[in-house]
Amino acid sequence: MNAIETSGLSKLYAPGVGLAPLNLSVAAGEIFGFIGPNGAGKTTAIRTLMGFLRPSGGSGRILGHDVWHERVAVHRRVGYLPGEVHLARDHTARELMGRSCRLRGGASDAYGLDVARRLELRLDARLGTLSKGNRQKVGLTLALMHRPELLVLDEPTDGLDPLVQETVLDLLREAGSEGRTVFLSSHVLSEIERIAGRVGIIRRGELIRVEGVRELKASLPQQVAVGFALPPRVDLMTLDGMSDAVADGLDFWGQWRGSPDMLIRALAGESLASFSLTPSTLEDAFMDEYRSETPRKEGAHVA
Amino acid sequence: MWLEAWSQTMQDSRRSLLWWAVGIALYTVMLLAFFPLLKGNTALGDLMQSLPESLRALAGDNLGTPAGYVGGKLLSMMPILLTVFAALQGSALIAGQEERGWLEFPLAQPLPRATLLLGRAAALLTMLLVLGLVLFLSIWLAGQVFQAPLPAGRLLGAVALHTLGAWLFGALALAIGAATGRGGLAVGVGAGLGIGLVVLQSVASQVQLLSDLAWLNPWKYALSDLPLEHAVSPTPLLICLLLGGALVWIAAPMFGKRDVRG
Repeated sequence: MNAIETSGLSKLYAPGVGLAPLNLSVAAGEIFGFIGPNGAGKTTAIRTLMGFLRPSGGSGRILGHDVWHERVAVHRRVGYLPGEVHLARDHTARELMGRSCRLRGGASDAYGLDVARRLELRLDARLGTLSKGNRQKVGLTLALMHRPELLVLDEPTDGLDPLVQETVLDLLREAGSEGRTVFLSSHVLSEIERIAGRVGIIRRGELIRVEGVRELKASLPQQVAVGFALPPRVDLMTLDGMSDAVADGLDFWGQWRGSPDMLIRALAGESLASFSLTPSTLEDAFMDEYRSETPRKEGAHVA
Repeated sequence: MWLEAWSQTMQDSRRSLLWWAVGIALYTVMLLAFFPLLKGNTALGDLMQSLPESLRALAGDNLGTPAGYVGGKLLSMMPILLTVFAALQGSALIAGQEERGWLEFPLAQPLPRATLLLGRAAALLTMLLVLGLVLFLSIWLAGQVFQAPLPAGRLLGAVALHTLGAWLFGALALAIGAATGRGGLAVGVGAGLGIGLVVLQSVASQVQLLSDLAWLNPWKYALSDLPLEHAVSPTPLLICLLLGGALVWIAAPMFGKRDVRG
């Protein structure tokens, strides 16, 4: 059984606004990244999956339970981090952990305390006195503390400093290695790239691509930069697989697709001052997908 | 489960409840502290007798007797005060919290929305009963101190009418807030209707139509029926209690079927 399975699940606030019919399967044990710029519909998709928003069409199942009609059963097995952690200012993290345990029939807070310690969260400070990053830690602790079968995390590392981000990624990797499923959204692609097995790219409410991180990266061009020591005899621009090439005197830049074999052979007889072939990052893939988008009136920005 | 939701809500509201209780107790004690000055003041009684009936109805009859003074000067304000408290709390408990994004935490737990609403409705009723108890105790005790003793049974009945009247409008605000998620609307309708009906009741004796329909107004039983002087029938108490519960019950499926904002 898949951890998440949707067929045509949509949430449209108005025609064309919101989440277009979404077909997605996330297998149990997978770490799935959901990427897209701010305003693309990531949060709408997540809140629909969590049963906060009533679907306007289609259906979704989480761990076999309908996301709308059986949301209580879903919540019993899912840890959720909202995109913005809003919690009453008077509470402390410890109180909220206690409340969560009691609402889950006296669950243990042992792992939650462990998570809080690793995130260096002060458990007895009132939330009103905490910074955004520290509130995010509270939200993460609450989401992770019951070791749920599925973690649904909306921008988990948002507002955290780099060291803590690292800890969070470690915690998620551990969850993955315990066979638990992680579904996380982000607009920080480098972190998705480091942790997720597959990614889904969402644009303007539509899931436009789902692929394994490795396959996605392999399908992307690599950046070539060559500095010739002497004027070259070979014309790299004519090579099959080269695109977007620019030559400026002895310097050459371009994008290369496919195996580097052909490229290296072509350069074999040349005298080089420098050479680099850089794999694309997910960031590049993402920019690619978004460049094909006609700019919206408000000027959607890729954050 | 609803008991846990109730206890969490009570814990969150305890500070606001405490301040309201202190305010009501102080108001009661201050007002009753002036009673010895009015007690047996025949000039005042004569003045009141000389007023036209409509003015007497506004100022309160028999300010020289404990029942007249407490009923006319003190309890006459309570429908408004208690309705304001109930409507503010009722609207805050679901809609107000939702507007701040605070509902996502409890609703991400395995807690049905209807159970959360039930727990919070029970908390609202509990808070009103606490304020009612504080009101009763402070009137009764201050009455003993300031020579305005009142029979405990009558006083309890009168306070219950005020408290459960306010519950009706608090439950209305809670229900509207739960059904729509709009806090401003909830507090506006709840407090507006509650206070509007107090005003209507104050002029009911002059308007035939209003006095014919007064039996529909929950404040008639608390204000015009002089519950400190006549024993209270349990019927209006029960009706207010059940009607408030019914409003919440009607709102529960609407709360369950709508989007919850984050």
